[in-house]
Amino acid sequence: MDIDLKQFQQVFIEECVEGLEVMETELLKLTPGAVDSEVINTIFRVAHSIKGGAGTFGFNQLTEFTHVAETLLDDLRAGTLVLTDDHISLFLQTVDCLREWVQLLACDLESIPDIVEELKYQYNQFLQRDMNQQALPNGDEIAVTDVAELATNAHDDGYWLINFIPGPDILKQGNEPRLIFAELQEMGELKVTPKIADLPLWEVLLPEDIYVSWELELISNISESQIKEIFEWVADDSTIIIIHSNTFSNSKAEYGNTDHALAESVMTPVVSKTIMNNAPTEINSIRVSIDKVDALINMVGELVITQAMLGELGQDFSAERLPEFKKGLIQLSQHTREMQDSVMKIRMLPIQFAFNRIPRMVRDLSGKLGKNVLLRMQGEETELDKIMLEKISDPIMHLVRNALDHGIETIGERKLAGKSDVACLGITAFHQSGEIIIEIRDDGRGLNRAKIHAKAIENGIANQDQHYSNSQIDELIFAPGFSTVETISDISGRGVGMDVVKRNIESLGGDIKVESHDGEGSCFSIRLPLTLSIMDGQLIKIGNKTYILPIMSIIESLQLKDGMVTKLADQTEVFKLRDEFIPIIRLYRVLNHETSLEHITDGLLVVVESGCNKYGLLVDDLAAQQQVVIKNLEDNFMKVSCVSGATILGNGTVALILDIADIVKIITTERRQMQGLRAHVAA
Amino acid sequence: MQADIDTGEQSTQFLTFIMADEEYGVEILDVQEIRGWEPCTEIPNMPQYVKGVINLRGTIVPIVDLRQKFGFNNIEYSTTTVVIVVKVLVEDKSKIMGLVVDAVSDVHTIAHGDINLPPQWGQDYGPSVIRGLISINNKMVVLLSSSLLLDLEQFQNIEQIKGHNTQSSIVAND
Repeated sequence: MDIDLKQFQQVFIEECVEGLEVMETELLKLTPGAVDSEVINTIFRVAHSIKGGAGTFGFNQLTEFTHVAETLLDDLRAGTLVLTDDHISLFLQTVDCLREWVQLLACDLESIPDIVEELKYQYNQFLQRDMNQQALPNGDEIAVTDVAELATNAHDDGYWLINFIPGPDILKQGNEPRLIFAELQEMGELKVTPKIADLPLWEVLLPEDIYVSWELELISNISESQIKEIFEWVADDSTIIIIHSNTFSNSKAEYGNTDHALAESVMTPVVSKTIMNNAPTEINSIRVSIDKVDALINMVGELVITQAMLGELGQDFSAERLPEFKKGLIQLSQHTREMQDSVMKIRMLPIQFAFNRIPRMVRDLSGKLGKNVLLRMQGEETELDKIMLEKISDPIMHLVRNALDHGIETIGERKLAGKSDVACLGITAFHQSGEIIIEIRDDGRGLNRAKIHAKAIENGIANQDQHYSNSQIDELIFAPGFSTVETISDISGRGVGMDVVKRNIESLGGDIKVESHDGEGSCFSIRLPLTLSIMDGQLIKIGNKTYILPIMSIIESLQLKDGMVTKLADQTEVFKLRDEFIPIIRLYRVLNHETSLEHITDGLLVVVESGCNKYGLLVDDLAAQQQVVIKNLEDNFMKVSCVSGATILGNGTVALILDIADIVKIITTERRQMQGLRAHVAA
Repeated sequence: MQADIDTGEQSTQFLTFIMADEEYGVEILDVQEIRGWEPCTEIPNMPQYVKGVINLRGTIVPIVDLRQKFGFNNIEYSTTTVVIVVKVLVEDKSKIMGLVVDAVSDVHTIAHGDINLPPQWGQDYGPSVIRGLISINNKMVVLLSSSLLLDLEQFQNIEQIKGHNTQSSIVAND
């Protein structure tokens, strides 16, 4: 039973995460004052299904919290409350809070996010105000005491605000609210305020049901668990919200003072630090539209028919049936190709999923930085492999943050530069020759080249004497350990920025370039392969073994002639290609294989690019080029050095795909060790 | 694993195989299939007993020579040399690996109560893949734990040692 529930819990968590995304998007569509009932309804539905699900799985505190949010939404929907910017902010905070909560649940942690009580309090404030507005015209007398006032009166004693909304059945179960209150009174000073707004007309009133709810103010230094104990018998059916004003005022102070705590939560969006350690669970399932699945099933049917036909042909084969056989084979290859396409499509999701978080962040940050930013997003429907989508999301966010923080000037600066107040931030995704390009363009000040150059020299990344072209200087921002901002700001620039972005993108087989014009803005463009699982490969031979190099990294290949190779002092072999000296890597040595080469000129040299450097890989021979489906070795084995994955060749055998960056890394460390050793021997 | 050995009445079926005249057994539910030996693609810089990888209907499956892993002398692969493809759950993920053994022997149903625990040699890693010992027809059969056989920690340690050797040898060649 336990295991079963666990399974569904995973589904619930996935649904919550998806729902929260929807909720956030919809919230950002809302404008204060005007209520779009369709939008509110969508948000309401999400909140409601989270509440329902939480109830099913016994996450009572979550149910309770979403219930409060739902109540406010309900009032907004009914129009009894006018939507303000504060409401939207509160709901957005709620989304963040719920996200964190759901992450905690996913890690099987019982704790609840710290901010919950604070948010609950805010909700109650709104709801109470709402209640007053409604209540007063009706003439129902309800005493409301200003909470803050009472709180200050409370001094050392704890001030508890308890919202007790009993379930309709509690009287039938033999519970008597009066006794509960009496018990509370024994604990300290108690003030009970009934809320009778829900009382029905006399004709429809059921005497066994309870229609009144109470607001209790208790001044006493008892603990929350003691209060909960008193309510224990009714807790299951009723909504009981307990707020401790001391803790509240503390948290309030904390909230106000540490502004950067807020920024921190903006920077590391979904997950808080505690969960980070607990390995955040990624969502591992895909929702596929039924059309795509139907298409697949259709094709599998066709495949089975073709197979049956070929099988029958094979049983009873004669020379005159050859054309029929050939036709069958053509059909088979067609179906296979189509099927491959549609299976790949299942993994493709619109890039919208990565873009979803951007509007929210732009809203939060531009408000915080006092900048006026107009966000334009294009090509959200461009499809990308799911895994890639997950991994590209953070780099994109980082670039957007950078653009907002560094790229775009403050309103004052923009006025001085004669630009319009409103800065424009454009994010575009599109296909280009089998690749996906994502551009992040701002019309800000552009990269400050003088500063970058100076900083790079200071950090030892650039050479003082060397002359750098503009684009070379721009490239420097991707160097490790580079950051131009003097004071590390809340929003971006912790000195790890761009090189991490670049590395992440490169690990996906992509590339990032920057283009900048002084005073006109800069544009970062990310180039990504369509999918991670298929790439163009060049088959190479080393001895009698076949390996694959990614064609993307190959620049050219050539045959060496005598005298082209020079040996450096540290035994590194280099050769001169036009104006560059390129180190040679003898692959058979790195991989420990036999070679058929007797002399270096017998083989071929494949010039590849890794990082910003070129290397010449010595191979025995080049074979065919073909598209290969990448399979990873880690699934059943483990990470193998020098190898990034494997694939299956046309003849059914496995070939390994070489990881050039890893090979270079291994050789570099080995050289360094050798140098150390030599220095040691010399000494 | 230990727990279900202790539960008395239950029994489990084991597939036994021969290596260097000794009989070994793995739980039959962990065995996905048995194949004949076929040449595989070598993985560079791996210990001797990692023979390489094969394509098993689209899945890349590593092949390990159990004989060499256990430190017996190697033999030429012959027609009876088989690969037992074992599939187990390691940390919620299923892992498949092929084990090269001399020959497949029999299937035995073994009551858990009859399994003797292996002798303890302190912390030594040797016996850890051994789940228990049992005597069938006066012959001893060593029962192996498939999940521990597929545990890659040990490979990693060995690989690191091996890695150091190869690195220095590349340089020495120059």
